[in-house]
Amino acid sequence: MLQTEIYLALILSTCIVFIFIAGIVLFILQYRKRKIQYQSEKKAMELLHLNEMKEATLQMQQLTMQDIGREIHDGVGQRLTLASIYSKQLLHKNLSEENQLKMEEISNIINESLVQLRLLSRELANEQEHSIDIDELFVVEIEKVKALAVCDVEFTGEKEFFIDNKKAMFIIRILQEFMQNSLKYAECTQMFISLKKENDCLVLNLSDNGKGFDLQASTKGIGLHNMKRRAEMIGASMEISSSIGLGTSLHLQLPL
Amino acid sequence: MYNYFVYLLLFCEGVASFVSLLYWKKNKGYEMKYFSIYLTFIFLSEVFGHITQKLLLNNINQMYIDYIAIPLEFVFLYWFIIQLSQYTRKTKIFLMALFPYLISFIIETFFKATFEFLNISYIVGNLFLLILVLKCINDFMTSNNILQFMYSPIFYICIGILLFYLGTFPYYAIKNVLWAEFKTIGLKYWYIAIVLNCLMYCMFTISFLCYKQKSISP
Repeated sequence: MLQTEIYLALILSTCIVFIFIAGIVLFILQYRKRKIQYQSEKKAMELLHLNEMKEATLQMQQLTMQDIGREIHDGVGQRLTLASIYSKQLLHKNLSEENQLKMEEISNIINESLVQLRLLSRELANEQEHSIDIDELFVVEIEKVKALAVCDVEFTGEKEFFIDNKKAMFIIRILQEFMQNSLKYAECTQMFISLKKENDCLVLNLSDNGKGFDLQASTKGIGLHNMKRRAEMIGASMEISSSIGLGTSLHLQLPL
Repeated sequence: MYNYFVYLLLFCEGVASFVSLLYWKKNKGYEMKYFSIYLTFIFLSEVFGHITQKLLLNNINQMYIDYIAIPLEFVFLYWFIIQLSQYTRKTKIFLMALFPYLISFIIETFFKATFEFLNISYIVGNLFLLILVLKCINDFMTSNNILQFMYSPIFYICIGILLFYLGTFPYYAIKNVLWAEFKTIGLKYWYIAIVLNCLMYCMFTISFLCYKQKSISP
């Protein structure tokens, strides 16, 4: 009986020493692993933030230039057009030859100014670029999500898929909202994105393998409401389906 | 020499209790407030133990330790460690850890003669406490809290509990045998147990001192 207890104590003591040593080693390894993971997450977030700032700045610049272009066209352009009309009216009045020549010159200068103004206005308002390659925009957004290394994204698109600039922006916003929700709430590990052209329609399918949610309970969510509103504004039909434990999917169809 | 160690332990317990009460208002979580009460209870129990020993009421002291102090210690530590961990069904886990300890305690009380040389209830209680603490440490290490472990009370509290309860597991398991048959070894191990006990209370004190509001709270 006594010997058993002594042996028991010795075995326990040996095990305890091993547990302590193993514990210290495990702690150090786990700490280093976590630190590296944290630093890479931090870098990815900083990069994402930087890219978003750049994008926002570019968008602001574009909007400002478009405003200036419109103002030039509506404000200065209108006045010059009026001046051109008055100058043409004066040409039909009984003016001396010298004045007639001068009026013609004034009229030509005004017309040339109008032409140059219209060109400048069009350049600023970016009217020549009506369409944009939406496939490229999708690739950019998906790369941002992949850089976070949180979720795997599978994308099937169509190269050189040009659609109207404004509609493309709205669809990108819907894509961003869906991906953000999947990452934040669904805790998914995979996302599937498919963009294709079918029967003169843009067909977009988004899905994730996250935990899903109760659609009835979430009808008042701002994110979902925004997505539906954007789809309606560009004349697209959108369906979202989700079940708890089975992920979430979105189907959007836009006539082109 | 013996007395120095005893007073050293009392000092460490007193300091832990004092610091915990000093930081009472700063602690936002109710678990840490109950922990302060626990440390004060332990300190007052030790003082009570010294008084009864001085008055030669060793039987009363021993009964208080065996039937009140140690059981309450285990019950509180189970609850406390479960609160610090990331369990979803905390009450269920608490009852699952407490039930075997209570059974072993009842068995030991009514079959004392059979378990003369082995503290069965202490072994069982200690074992479950260590399982809970190791789970708590695992949760801590796999979360982002590990990056700020220097400012996290969970780290110091778990290390303190491990140092004492794991380090003195063999000693308290066969304490009766050691003191009965191998008094010299028993005494030497007792000194080690006291030092580990002091280290535990030092860790508890540090857990209050190093706690920063910006770090992830327990």
